[in-house]
Amino acid sequence: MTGRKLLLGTLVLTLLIVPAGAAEKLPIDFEATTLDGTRFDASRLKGHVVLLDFWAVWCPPCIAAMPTLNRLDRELGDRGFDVVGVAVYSGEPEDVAEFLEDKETTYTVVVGDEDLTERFEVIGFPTYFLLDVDGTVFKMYVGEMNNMEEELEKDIETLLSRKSSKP
Amino acid sequence: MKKVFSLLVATGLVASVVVARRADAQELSPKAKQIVDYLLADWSKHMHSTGISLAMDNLGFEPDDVLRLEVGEHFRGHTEIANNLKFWGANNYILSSEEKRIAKQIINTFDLEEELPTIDALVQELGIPEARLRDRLRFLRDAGLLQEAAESPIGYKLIRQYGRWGGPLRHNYHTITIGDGKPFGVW
Repeated sequence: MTGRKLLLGTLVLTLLIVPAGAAEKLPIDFEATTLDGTRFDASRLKGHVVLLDFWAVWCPPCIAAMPTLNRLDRELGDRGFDVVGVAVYSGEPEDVAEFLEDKETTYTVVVGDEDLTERFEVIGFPTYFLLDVDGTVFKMYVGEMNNMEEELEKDIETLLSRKSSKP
Repeated sequence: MKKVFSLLVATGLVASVVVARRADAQELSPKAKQIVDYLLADWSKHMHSTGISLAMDNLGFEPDDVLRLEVGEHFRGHTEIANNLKFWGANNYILSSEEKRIAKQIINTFDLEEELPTIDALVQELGIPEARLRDRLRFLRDAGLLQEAAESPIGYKLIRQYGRWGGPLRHNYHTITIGDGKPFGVW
């Protein structure tokens, strides 16, 4: 068999074996920058229920939601739940860190770029994505929510219950 | 021969450094600097988000696309100088309210109908005379939101990342005047 035929055969075999969409990233597979400027790889949170909070320093409803997010992260953290705040359009990591100095956020906050907002199709703030343990989106919530605590807690509980019932 | 080559390399390096320094030190034209100073002062006020064209009006300058783009380019390269630039991006300050209306109409049509509007449709929807509209489409190209496309009914197509070009404000514009003061933009 010539090298060319071998290459062609390998290519055809690869196309047959690799399922469609295998190269697509899961929503949890993203990178951002931590507030101290290091790389944050969200894919390490696979296996957890994750609430992604796309927020901005100029967005009052985003800031008003922080105590709720703190509480959820604190109370449900032991059961495999994490909140990750993704600050966008808010300057550099040091700008966000300075802004958060008096906000007492206890959950992870990172800084995302415009590519990330485009990938998640964020069109308003805050936008939350509740991710299931497999890294897929369970639900998206856009804008200020009147019954935010109840709504989020109910959905998070659903996912945590499913997680704990899995063998 | 080796010496000549070394000399050429050295000359090239020196020339590159000189060009880079010139670019770094390139100063704004006096009018552009006046606009930048005006806007930085304006933006220091709570929720003020005035655009370049309105600043030019307030300073008594005639409309000047080249001057506007000079200031815009400065802002694109120096987003660290103001929170407004960090939050909303420079592009929102480059377009006038009229250009934002045109941009929004084109984007909305494209998003909803997956095709660009015709010139006639834009004239009808926006109430802008055709010659003026064509002139502003050229500016939207110069500003970077559109690129030429012969097959398009307006002669241009949206850039690939048009959805994020305008930043989170997405071509919104709000202008306020208090008392007999100068009008200003808000976010």
